[in-house]
Amino acid sequence: MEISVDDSSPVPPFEQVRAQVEYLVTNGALRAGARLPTVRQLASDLALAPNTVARAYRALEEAGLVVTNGRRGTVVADVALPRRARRRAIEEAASRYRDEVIRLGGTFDDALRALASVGEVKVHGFDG
Amino acid sequence: MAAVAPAVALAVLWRGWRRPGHGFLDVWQSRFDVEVPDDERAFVTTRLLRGRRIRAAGVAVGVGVAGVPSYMNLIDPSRAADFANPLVGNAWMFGATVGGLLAEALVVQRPRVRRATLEVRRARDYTDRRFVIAVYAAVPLTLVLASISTILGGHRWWFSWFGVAGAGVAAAGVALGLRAIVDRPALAPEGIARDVDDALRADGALRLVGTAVALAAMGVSTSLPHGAPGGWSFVHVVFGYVSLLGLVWWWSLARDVRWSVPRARALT
Repeated sequence: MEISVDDSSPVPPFEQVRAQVEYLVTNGALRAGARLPTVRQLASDLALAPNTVARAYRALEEAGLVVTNGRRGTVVADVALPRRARRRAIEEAASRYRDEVIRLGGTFDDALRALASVGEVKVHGFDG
Repeated sequence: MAAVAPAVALAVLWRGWRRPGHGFLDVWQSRFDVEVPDDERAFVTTRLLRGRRIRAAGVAVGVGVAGVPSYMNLIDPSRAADFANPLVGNAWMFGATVGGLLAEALVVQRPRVRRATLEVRRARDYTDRRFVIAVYAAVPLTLVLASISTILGGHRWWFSWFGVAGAGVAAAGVALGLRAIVDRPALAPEGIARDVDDALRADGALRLVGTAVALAAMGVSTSLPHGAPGGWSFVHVVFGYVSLLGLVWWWSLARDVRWSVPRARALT
């Protein structure tokens, strides 16, 4: 399980880190109780300033996705995902999917059909 | 006698400085269960050699300091005894520990890619935590022993506090060194570069902990109460072997212990 920082992206590095960890938490790749690396470790591995990673962790904590507690460090929160954070995560995932479909030359209908064909979620489920 | 310490220091320095033989890297690979590809061999050899040189320099400086009483004997024989104490006598162990710490703390490593694994690196991935605990435990133990020695008084009771200094330097060296090892940027989040990186961390950690164990054991042995009554002489004999045991552990941890860094750590 990895995260990366793209130097050419206009998105600030702290937001890149935050969004990727949020994505991993919200899609279940990082389960409740999973320990995250220390700020220092992640910052050094990504060649970022510790403050940048600390800011991302703080934002994740404020969103209720992670908990920081002394000796155990930063762990994925053992709570149901807040509605707002979940909506934002889904929107971000959808945005990434849309960009990929556009890159491949697909249309909106192609995207919806593909989505319907790969999972249990029915397209009409999006209406509500 | 005054020439012995500098001669030993130069011998240590020469042995640490020379380039290792051809089989050196093969032994290292086998010890750390890692296969270094051809394009990484120069990098690994340079890193290992650099660490060895810094550690050798630490020991050499310590050996040089340990010879201070013999130098003083030439300059002012009446003051030579003032410098003959466990702190000066065991300066080579202090030098080895500080050298081991510097060898890790001075490593400059940049990640090759801006990708990071979310696995948590821990000191226990790279060394046996029982030895680390033993080093930390030596600090309160030496404090208690030195306090008893102070209360009992007797001939050169203050020598016991040199043992506390030894244990303290060992514990600080381990704490700072392991932190430097764990926090150092990873070369890569996966693949052979990561395996090589992990093996280099384990190598540094085992060598540092080895010297710290020896120094801590010497500290415990030195801090035994000097003014203790008769029954204590047996304890002195037993604890005298602790420092010997520490040296054996050092040798074993720094050279013989095989260590395979866990490659797939669960996110717990």
